[in-house]
Amino acid sequence: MISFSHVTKIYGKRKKQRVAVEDFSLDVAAPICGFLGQNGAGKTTVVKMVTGLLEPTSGTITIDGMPSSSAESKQKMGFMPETPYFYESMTGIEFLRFCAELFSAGDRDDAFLEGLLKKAGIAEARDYEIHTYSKGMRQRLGFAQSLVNDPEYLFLDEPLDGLDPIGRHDLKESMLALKQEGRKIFLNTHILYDVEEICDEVGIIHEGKLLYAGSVKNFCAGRPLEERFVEIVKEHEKKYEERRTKKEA
Amino acid sequence: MKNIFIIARNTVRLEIRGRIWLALLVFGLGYLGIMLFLSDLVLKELPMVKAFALLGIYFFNAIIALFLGTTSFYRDVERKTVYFILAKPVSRAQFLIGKFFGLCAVIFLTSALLAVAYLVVIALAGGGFDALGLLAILMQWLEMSLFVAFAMFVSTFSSSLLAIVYTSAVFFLGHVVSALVDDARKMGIGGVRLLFVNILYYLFPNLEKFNIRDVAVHAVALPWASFGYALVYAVTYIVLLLFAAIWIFEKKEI
Amino acid sequence: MKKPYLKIIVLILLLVAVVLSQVGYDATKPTSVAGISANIPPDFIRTVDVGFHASVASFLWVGTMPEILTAILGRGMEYIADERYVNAVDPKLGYPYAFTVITLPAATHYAGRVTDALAIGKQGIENSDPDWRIPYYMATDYFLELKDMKNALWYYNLAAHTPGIPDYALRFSLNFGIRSTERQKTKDLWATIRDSSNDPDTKARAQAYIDRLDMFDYLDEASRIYQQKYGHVPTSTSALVAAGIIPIVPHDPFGFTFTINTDGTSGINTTSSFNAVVPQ
Repeated sequence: MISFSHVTKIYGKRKKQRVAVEDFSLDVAAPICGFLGQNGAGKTTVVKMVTGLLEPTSGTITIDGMPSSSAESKQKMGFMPETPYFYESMTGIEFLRFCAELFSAGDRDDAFLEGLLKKAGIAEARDYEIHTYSKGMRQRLGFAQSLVNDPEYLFLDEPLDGLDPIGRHDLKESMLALKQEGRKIFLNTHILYDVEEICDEVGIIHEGKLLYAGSVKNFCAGRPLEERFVEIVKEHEKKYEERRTKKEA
Repeated sequence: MKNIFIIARNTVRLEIRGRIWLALLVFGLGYLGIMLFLSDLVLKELPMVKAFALLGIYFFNAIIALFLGTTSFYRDVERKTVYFILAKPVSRAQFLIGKFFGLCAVIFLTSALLAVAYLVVIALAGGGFDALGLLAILMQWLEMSLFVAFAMFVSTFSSSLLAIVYTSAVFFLGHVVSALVDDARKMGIGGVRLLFVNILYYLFPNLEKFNIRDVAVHAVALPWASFGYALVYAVTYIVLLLFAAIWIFEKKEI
Repeated sequence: MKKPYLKIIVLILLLVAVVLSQVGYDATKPTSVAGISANIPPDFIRTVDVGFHASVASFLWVGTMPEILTAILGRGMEYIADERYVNAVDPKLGYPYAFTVITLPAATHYAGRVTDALAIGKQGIENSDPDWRIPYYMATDYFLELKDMKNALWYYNLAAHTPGIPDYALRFSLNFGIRSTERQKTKDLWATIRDSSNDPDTKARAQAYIDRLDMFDYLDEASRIYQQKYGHVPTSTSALVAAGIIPIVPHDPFGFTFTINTDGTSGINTTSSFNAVVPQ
């Protein structure tokens, strides 16, 4: 289980501080948890904190009771960043080999890595240098590298961004297949339709605050997700405005 | 340790595939080829052939070191390629140290190739096998390693362009400051001015001690004690710079 | 290592280790200085210094100059070679010439100290950017070392004609040899220069100096008449006019103010400012 306990992240110092995530607490047990929010809401910051790329200003994040930034937790983790950047002069298979070597499980043989590329739909590009890849191919490679260590937990930041409809379908199918295998997926997205389609639970974040966490079904309560999302955001903004006015008064 | 080696190996692979490295290496080899021509035309003496050949190797290695040291690490962080690596069980320290060793290995490879060309040039100029020249090239490589460590240290907190400026300035100071201190003492300059120069002398990388080109060119006895101190200095200073770089990098929001 | 103070301690220890290894190196490094390698032709340096002749020559000079202060007495010949090397890299750099002209004669054990200094000076006058110090110091060398008044006069004259000469040096240069005890000799020397030269400018310049020296003789004579008449030295040139001995105070063609010294001889007023008119 992934546990967030009173996590806060503040960027900058003194007068130039910006609160990216505020007092965020959440336990994620569902197989696929969608993390939904507008651009700049704090989704990527949360994922970066889980994967150890950022340190929380306060609070703790654990995976199965171990700090998420520890080497042990990272052994179980796969991460796909938003808009992945690669070493352009490497080929697809070279990049996967490099990523696989960084895990203590040691080298994965090429057959396994080719299987990942096949799963991601770019097996034919294995020996092409990455600078020749299209945006969609890069997304697929990013997804493939998140699986090199056969992870229990996957953190995917906008994985469907830039994919064509076939690509989006294939990747969603892959995620569902991974769910069947017992893996846990934490999925950052701002596409409501994707959350509705594949996520078991949703966390809604707005301006760094968690507004809702729970099952998608219960959240929607028979209404479209978009409608409920807009409603909850506006409710939050209204409450915030009331509090601010009260404070000023 | 394994991760450091993997990152170092990957760095070597990537940089060798880079066109700029290849271009500089080709220029370096071309320059050494010109030495054969020059040794007949202008430079009549073997010491001069050695002097200019070693200067050329130094010059090209310095450009490669400056370029690699100020861009390689910075590029990985700015382009966020580092996300893939640091999300895996690789610490920032391992990444930075691996990068450093990788870049040193690239410069070692360059030095080795140029050293082979140098030995051929010297042999053809009638100088036989120049062991001292090889030692001078090795010391140059050590100097470049210190140079790369400084460049990487600066890259942890400034942009690539600024890193080039700072590193170039320190490179220049590193060679000039020891002569300045000597001259200041001879001229009887003292007080605050000498104190300032002395602070620069001890604080900034003092690179002239790695210059044993004169020893190689004039085939004089190698001062082994000072050679030993130079090695200790290089290792200690590199450790200091990498330690400081790691400290800064660990705090950096990427 | 989470605690920052531990990291600071480690950094300080590493810095101390760096400093200590530097100290160790300084204690063991060879003391002989390679110096300028005279084997590399200066023309080659000029070819490869990508136009930075002055910078490279200056840099070489910085390496050479301290030798003057500590070792010139034992390095006369080597110093000359180094200095000439600097000149060869950048002939227009004036300071090395001037410095050599004034300091090399101090190397008393070195036989060629004056002749070499003057030879370098002449080279400097010919090649370098105008630098008043070169002829000025040469004139001093001629006068003090060789007692050669003629060349001293000529080079002081050259210095006076060099742009940038400061007032104190200009005053001295234009008024060298005007004292009554040496004035006739000075006039004779200028006459020699005038008569032996085929250059009209040199002839005219020498005549200008002679004419001016005649004015000093004129004032000396007027002062002598005044002393005979009044029994004391005139206080100023105006007193000579007031006494009717001379009609007006002559105007110094070189822009100075004539005065009568306490011993009754004529001279120039060294305390007042002047607008020097250098004879062309």
